[in-house]
Amino acid sequence: MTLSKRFTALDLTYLGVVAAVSGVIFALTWNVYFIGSALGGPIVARIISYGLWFIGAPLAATLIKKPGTAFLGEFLGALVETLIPTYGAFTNLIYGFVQGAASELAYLIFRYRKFGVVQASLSGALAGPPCVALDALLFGDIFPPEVMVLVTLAATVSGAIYGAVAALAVRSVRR
Amino acid sequence: MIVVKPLTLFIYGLVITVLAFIARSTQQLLILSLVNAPVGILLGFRRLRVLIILFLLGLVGLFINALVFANNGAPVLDLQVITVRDGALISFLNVTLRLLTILGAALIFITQSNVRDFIKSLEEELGLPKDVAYTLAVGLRMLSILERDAKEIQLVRVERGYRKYPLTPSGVSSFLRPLLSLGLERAVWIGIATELRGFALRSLERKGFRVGVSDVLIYSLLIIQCSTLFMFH
Repeated sequence: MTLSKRFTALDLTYLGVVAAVSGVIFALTWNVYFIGSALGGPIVARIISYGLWFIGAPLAATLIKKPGTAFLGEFLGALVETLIPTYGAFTNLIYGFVQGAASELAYLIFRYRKFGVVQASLSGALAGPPCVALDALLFGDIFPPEVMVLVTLAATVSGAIYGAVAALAVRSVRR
Repeated sequence: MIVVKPLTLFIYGLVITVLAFIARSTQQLLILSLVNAPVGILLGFRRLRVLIILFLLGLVGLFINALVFANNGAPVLDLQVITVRDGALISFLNVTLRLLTILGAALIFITQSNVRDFIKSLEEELGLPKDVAYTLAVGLRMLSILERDAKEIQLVRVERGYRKYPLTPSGVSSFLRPLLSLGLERAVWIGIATELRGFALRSLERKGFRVGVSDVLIYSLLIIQCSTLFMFH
């Protein structure tokens, strides 16, 4: 079954806009990350910035409300960010793929019947642990165990907060 | 003048990035970075010097990170306040070489390829579904417009006494809502026009994966760099 049987041209255009908006936000978030890192170290940096890097998924899913949109919103946003380009370069694609897949689970759990604030918050939160795992695997961001727990918690909480922010923003715009 | 297809450069950049993470020894990373970083920085310095300078500034943070979390082994430099050990230096060197490799590969792709040709080749040669290709094309076309909108929103925020970069959820929300609103308004009309022009009925002739002489050279260079993984351990 081709994608166009499930997505209209309007859905795809919305997805394109979300990819562009996400790409812009992802690119600007590097500044937020560096500011947070300089002021408060790895935990504060993750609390204030990581959720912004997970925002593509809840944004797309809440807006379009169809299976696969969470993954595409995050991955295409990461692809746009790669083409801008930013500090992360091609690694953004790896992060976008993994984060998008994790975020998609939040909607799959509810069998794609609900696309509310709770689901958006969960999709942001689910992207946190794999993102921290990629940081450790790819960039060697390995801290002592208690710090790793706090870092993972910070990324998860940040994802949950900004997932909710994304859903509420879409609701206020679509009203 | 050597003209390389955007798809070739994309595959090259992606594989080099993956290689940079697979490579674990300093010698492997040194070879990869020496091949890619100078070429990328030379090609990209004129257009993307801010990114390159920010990257170099970021190395300071990386060094501090290495001093805090990897400062073990034999002492190398005694600064009285702190003793720098070989563990920190090796860790810093490896991460720097890895990032230089990734940056170089990305700059080669960004500076030598046209984004529209890249999406077209993804669709015609790699068989990317037309829906994803269309979404990407819309996103990239909207990017410059949304970047301008984002700058205007930042300007208005500063004029109203807010931070230029939102650091809190409410700040992000106040930044996101107008950006989304402007983008979606444009999207409605683009989507309707696309539908009316028969997008669903559009079919594309797949041309298959083709390589020219310059592409073969790039792939050969890629294979040589892949072989470095087996040369040094």
